Amino acid sequence: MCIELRPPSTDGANRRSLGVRAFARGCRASVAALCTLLAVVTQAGETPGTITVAGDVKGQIVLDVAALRAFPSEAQVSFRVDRQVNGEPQNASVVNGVRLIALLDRAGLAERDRFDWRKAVVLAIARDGYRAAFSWPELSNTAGGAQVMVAYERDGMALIDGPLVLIAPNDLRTGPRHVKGLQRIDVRVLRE
Amino acid sequence: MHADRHIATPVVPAGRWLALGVVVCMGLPFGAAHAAGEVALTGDVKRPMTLDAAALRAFPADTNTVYRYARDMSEQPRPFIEYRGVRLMEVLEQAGLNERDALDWRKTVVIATGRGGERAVFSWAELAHTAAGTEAMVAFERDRRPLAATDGPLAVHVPGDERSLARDVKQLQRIEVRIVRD
Repeated sequence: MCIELRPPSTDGANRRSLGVRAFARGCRASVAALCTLLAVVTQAGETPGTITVAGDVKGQIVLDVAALRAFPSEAQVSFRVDRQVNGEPQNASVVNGVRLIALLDRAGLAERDRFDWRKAVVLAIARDGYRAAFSWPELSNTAGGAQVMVAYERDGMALIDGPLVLIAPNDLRTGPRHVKGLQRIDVRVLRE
Repeated sequence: MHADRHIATPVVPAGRWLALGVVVCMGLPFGAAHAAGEVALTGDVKRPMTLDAAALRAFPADTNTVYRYARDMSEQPRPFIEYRGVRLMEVLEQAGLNERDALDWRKTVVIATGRGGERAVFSWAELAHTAAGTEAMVAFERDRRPLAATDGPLAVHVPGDERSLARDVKQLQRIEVRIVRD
């Protein structure tokens, strides 16, 4: 999220005095510091490697890989990635995660009445701002939605595009709602 | 296959919709009052519009979906309950998502509201790219007859929901599209 300062243009670089360069370096440093400050402020305590479940929930929760592993077995879910190279089947890869609905149930929907869940949406937001939307009823009340997961490992190894990744394995196209570098799960009840 | 094609832009040839244009009331301002038997498509759409049962009947046959529920009346000629409607995604494609970029549909939600104010939400991705969502429909017939006045004339029906009826919206009034950018 930090915008890098563009390198000084080369034309006229030989005429630039040491003082100007030092000034530019100073600027760069202060911009970097500002970016860091911004990052700290906007993330509001969201430490790297964790996800925050927030919004219209009874209690905001922050989870890391260890916390996800500790979820009960019925909340755990996995799927196989079958691969072929030149038509030859390779060893299947197995991705493990926790059902998104299990995370949401732990945070608890801050509902005013028994109809609120029908108008609740869930946004999965990545560190880089990428976001994918789910409806709460899709996650809690459809067969495919129950498989939507926050993945934490593949073949026992940490995820390279993680540490946590949101995956909807039953989507007819899985790319669009694959959220790398998952940072935040935001719940909103759309009352208006 | 019908369900897995790319969405967000209508792929139906424009000519096929000419007949439909006669019955579709185009360009109704957002939130404007409309007749009780119509549904208004509003929000982040390119072409706000209202549709009634006649307009939905005029949709091409391949946008229609029929869902049958078995019931224990096996001695009868039609031992099932049958809903007929137009796929919700097809209705949305008519209005068109007013997207700024290719990522917007991934953060888009769809809110269906009934006359009594009850609401049900869907994600755009769910309607476009899941087995259950592609079957969601704006229903206009049950057992080959118009929906009863208490249910229709238009209703959202979602065969793919496990607890059925949870997202069914009777007396459908409005379908709002919302891109959740912030």
